[in-house]
Amino acid sequence: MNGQLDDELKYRTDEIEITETSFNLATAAEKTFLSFEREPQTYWKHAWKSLKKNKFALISLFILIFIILLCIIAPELSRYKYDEMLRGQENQSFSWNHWLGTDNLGRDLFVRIMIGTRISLLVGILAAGAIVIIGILYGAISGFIGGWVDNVMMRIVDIIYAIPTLLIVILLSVILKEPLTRAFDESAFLKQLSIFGPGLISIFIVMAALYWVDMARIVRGQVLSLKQQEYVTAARALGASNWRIITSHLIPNAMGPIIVTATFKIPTAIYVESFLSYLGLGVDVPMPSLGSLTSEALGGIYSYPEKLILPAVMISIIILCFNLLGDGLRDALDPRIKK
Amino acid sequence: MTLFIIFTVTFGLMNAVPGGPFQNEKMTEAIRKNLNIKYGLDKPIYERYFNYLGDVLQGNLGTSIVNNEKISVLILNGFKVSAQIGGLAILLSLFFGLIFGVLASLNRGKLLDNFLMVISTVGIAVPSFVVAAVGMVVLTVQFRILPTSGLDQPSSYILPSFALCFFSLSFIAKIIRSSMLDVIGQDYIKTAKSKGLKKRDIILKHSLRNAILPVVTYMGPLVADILVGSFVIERIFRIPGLGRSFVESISQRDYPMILGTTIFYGAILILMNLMVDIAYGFIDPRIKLKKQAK
Repeated sequence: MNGQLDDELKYRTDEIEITETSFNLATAAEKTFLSFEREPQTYWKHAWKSLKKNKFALISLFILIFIILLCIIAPELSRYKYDEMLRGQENQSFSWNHWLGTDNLGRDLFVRIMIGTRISLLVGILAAGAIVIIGILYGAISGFIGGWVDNVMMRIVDIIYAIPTLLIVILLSVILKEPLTRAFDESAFLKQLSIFGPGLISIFIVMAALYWVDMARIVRGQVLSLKQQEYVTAARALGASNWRIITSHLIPNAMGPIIVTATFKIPTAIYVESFLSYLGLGVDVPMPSLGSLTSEALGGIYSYPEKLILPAVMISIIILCFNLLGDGLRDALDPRIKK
Repeated sequence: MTLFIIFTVTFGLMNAVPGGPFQNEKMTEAIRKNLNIKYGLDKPIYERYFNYLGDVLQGNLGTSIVNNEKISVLILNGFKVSAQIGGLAILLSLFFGLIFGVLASLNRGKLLDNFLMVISTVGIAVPSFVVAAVGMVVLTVQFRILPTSGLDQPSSYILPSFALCFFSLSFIAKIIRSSMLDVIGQDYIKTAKSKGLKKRDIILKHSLRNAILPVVTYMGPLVADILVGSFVIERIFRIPGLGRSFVESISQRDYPMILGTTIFYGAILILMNLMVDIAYGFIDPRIKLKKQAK
């Protein structure tokens, strides 16, 4: 057997004679000709580059950063507090003292809108965070184990998906309010949370409990396709545990779609929060939220229409910016759309 | 199946709430006991569950605790009003969504396309209550063109249905635009063009019919969006519809009413999804219903 192979090799080398002199060093000109036209890029570098090219996404990102900084800093520097009622200064219009005027109880509207924005953003980002964590864990486990476990887990997702979500959100946030209020009174640990008010916490719980299904589906789909890849087989051959494969191979590689979905979940959460606050189910007075500010201003719509427009425009800008940023990120992170 | 789950979940949630509807400090213990017996709230929970399930299957949703009227009557009365506004909103969003989407795709990259896409991007971002509130400020308060609330005149339908349809209109316009652009690049459109067909025929018969499928998929969520939107819109414009009475019944803890309305909404949505599945077959003969059932 071996002899035959040697014969064949000999036969081949006979035909093309290779000696040391048959190799030439590449000249400098040849080297530059052969080298790559652009620097090798990592996935994230490329994504950031193409995001920078997207004008709308970049402007949205800057507006969002500006709004976030503003709503963190501005209320701390202001002379007024969001629940401070100034007697004799009710329903003022724009002025040097109160930039955006005051409401019917004499509270400074600029500070209230800023605090409201803070609440809305906080709810949006925290809820999106919870959705990401639950969705990733659920989707990754379901996709990785596969088989009947996957089947059962995905049927559960289908059922939650079929239930009209906002209907259940409304029901739940009504129902959770009272037990939460009692829990706050009883436990010292939970009392820390009560500054947010039971309404806000219940919105948060409800959002986290119902809105993770999209994320779970996307992560599962990614994991299903990624776990067939060679590097996963290699990792398994090297003896990596399932947990390690999931956390350090599958999830990092599925990060693009996860980030995009999360970016779109933030405006959804903000929308749901403002919607519920608008119906009077969300934040508890005197804590303002952009939804409840819009709702409060509805009473004085004939005399002070500008008090309604301002928070309404603020919600719209925030949601619009997150949507545009999400669009930009999707284009930047999806390798299939690379131009 | 889904309806049954909605029913069970809602029922379970209802009963998980501490404090019943009769928590009034003026009430004596005896009155409360009598009321509980009258509405069957004294029985154990599983008995109530099956009693209620039986009633619902017979179409009997019980009576409202707050004003003692039959819930099926309340729902029907409210739904008549809501359906008018909602139906108008659905028609508007389909009609203008299709037109805008097609126009944008035919003028790709031109001014009209950019203009329509800016509008629909904004339309997707702006919550319906903001549209309603801003529309109210501009059209009724500043210019006094339209009436603010109620449904006395035909013109009072305009603003609520516009506010309701704004999101879905923008969404439909966007999906129609992108699916039209997809379809226009296909070979059979080139064939149709080279056959010398009229442009109108190509757009209507060849492109739109194929591009409309994503919109049909969206019909189910569209109805859900409009339903949910009606909670807020009916409250703003003081329209005596089902959405408003649902929100009111939640704050009044009118259990039978909440449960009845939830089941009703659930039934509508499931019916809608079923209709969408059937409509697929008509629009796209390639999809067979039998294959869809796993």
